[in-house]
Amino acid sequence: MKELPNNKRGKKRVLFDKPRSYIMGIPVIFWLLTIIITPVILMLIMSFRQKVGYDISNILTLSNYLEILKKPSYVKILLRSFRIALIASTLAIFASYPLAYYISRKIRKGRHLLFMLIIAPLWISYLVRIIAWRAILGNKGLINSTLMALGLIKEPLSFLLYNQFAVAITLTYIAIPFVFIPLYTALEKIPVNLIDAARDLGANEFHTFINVILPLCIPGLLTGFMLAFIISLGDYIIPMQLGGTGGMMLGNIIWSQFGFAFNWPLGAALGFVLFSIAAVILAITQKFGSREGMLYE
Amino acid sequence: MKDKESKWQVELVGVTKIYKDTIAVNNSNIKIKAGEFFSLLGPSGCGKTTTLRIIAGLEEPDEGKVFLEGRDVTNVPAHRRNVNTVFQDYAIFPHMSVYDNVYFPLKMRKISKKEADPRIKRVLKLVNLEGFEKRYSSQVSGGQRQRVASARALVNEPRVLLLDEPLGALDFKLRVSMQKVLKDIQRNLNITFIYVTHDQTEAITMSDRIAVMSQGLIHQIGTPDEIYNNPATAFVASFIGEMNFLEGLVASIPSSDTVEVSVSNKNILCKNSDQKISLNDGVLVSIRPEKVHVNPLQSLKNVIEAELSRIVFKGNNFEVTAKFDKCEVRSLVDYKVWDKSQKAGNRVKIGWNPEDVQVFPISMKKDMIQYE
Repeated sequence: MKELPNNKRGKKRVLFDKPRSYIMGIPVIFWLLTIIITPVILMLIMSFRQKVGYDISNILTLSNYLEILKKPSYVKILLRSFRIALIASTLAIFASYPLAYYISRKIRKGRHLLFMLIIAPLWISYLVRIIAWRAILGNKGLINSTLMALGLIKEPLSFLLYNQFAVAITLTYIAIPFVFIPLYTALEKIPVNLIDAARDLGANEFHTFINVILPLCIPGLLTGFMLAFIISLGDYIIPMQLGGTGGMMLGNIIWSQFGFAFNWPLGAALGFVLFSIAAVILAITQKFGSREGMLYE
Repeated sequence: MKDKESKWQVELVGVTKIYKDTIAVNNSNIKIKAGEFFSLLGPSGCGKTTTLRIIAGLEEPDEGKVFLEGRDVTNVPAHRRNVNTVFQDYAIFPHMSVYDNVYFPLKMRKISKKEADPRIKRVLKLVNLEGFEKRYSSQVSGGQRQRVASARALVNEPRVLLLDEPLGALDFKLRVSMQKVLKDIQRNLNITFIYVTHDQTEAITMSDRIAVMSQGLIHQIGTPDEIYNNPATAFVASFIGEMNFLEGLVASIPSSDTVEVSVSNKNILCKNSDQKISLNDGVLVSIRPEKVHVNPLQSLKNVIEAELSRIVFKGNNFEVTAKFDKCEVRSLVDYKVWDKSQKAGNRVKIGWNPEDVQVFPISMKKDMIQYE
């Protein structure tokens, strides 16, 4: 990343510079406390309690966290969740970028219609879309029946469903609109005259893209990646529906702790681990994202 | 003239550009010499920027051809033309430092940073931007941004530099000093400048030649002197400088180079500048305010009795408006010459020489700039 401009570093934003601003801030603080901070704190406290029989004791201990570290399967699933989320969000970026690029920069008429078409799946039930993927990837699904009808295969391909591949593909699909929106916005915001200037100064289309367009849409790229990654990392419905035993993710374990395992403290501890990871990623991308965004004036 | 030995650096032949239902550039023919400071002047929307973009290769003409040094470049894309542009809002890359902005065109030519460094330093010195290399465009002032844009366009040593209202966003004092900087650069590097502006003073003071445009049409191409003193159309006369316009009818044509026009029953002798004008035609009579004398001491061929209606102090001179019948004539009178005891309502004589009066057919009135 580029060095921060001096005058930007020196400038401090004062949120409450007048006494009256405190009063204006009260609703915001109240809202943050009740909706975000309190539940997180409650979850944190829960993660330090312990399941005793069918009860939850009030003594605070680290045992849940120690158990997570001790059991290799938890670490393994955590790493797997990471890997799947990383693959899905990377694929979503590669799938969305050309779309966003062409719609924002090359198409003049019907741009808004195409934009709406891409984000239209967001209006359809999440579960329906997941089940639809089962219909596409299944033994008698779209892909297998097409290939069989064409005579390319005799037996249905079994590697399509109930594994990590199926989870990653479906997560990619779910994440595409969330990546597309910030990317499209960032690309559309790039002034046309910068592209004219690049061409005028001797850059062909490829060099203009590499030197001007790509660096200027980094904030959008990071935001999109972050959204896709966090959505994928915590998901449990897709692995449950399409993952089989090998495609299980951390979200499934957490879900089962709150469900039939009835171990809320362990579930809360696992949840908090996930939450912390997401928070760290958010902080990192925010830092780079806002830096780039600041230079973009 | 379209062979390799062409003496024209830039040549536009019958260039036309149409956007939807408006003709942005209408059959433009322009020839520009090497090392010339050539301005495209006109009000906004007259097609001057489109013309510039066609020369740059950022816009393709619907008809006509563009030649650079005799070579047909009509279908050559912008990045392969040896011309560079200083854009109206500078178009400085916000994610690059001043240094990297200036390096950009050299980088596109695959020149290493090490090799480019002395050239970048030289051009930054030329525009007086030493010490700003590491800054970003958000950290420099408007005038400095303008100079970054100029440096970036000059570093490639283009044969032709295109400037699209480069000083339009600057305040008056800065604009005047930047005019000098640009003019010096043009003279010292001997580069052809094609300069788009809507500011007639800027065009007149800086240019070797000017093309005056309106609604896609080129009305006149000429030196600043020709354009000021011999406007080809009523539009040029109204757009450049101050001008009095009076409507009248041709009363007689006493000789081949003079016409007599009747303006509300007063006859005015005018220069007949090769207009196809015949008896009883409706005409526009145009006189520059500085050519109108109030209570002239010398004897003039045109003298009219009028009433003073307004006297405005303008610093080094007075703008005096005199009325006869329904016609108003403005006059600019030097501070030292003006009789300060004169008041509005006084009867005066106003006069001018026939050589300073031009006539245009009344049909040209619709193209004129209307100041309301």
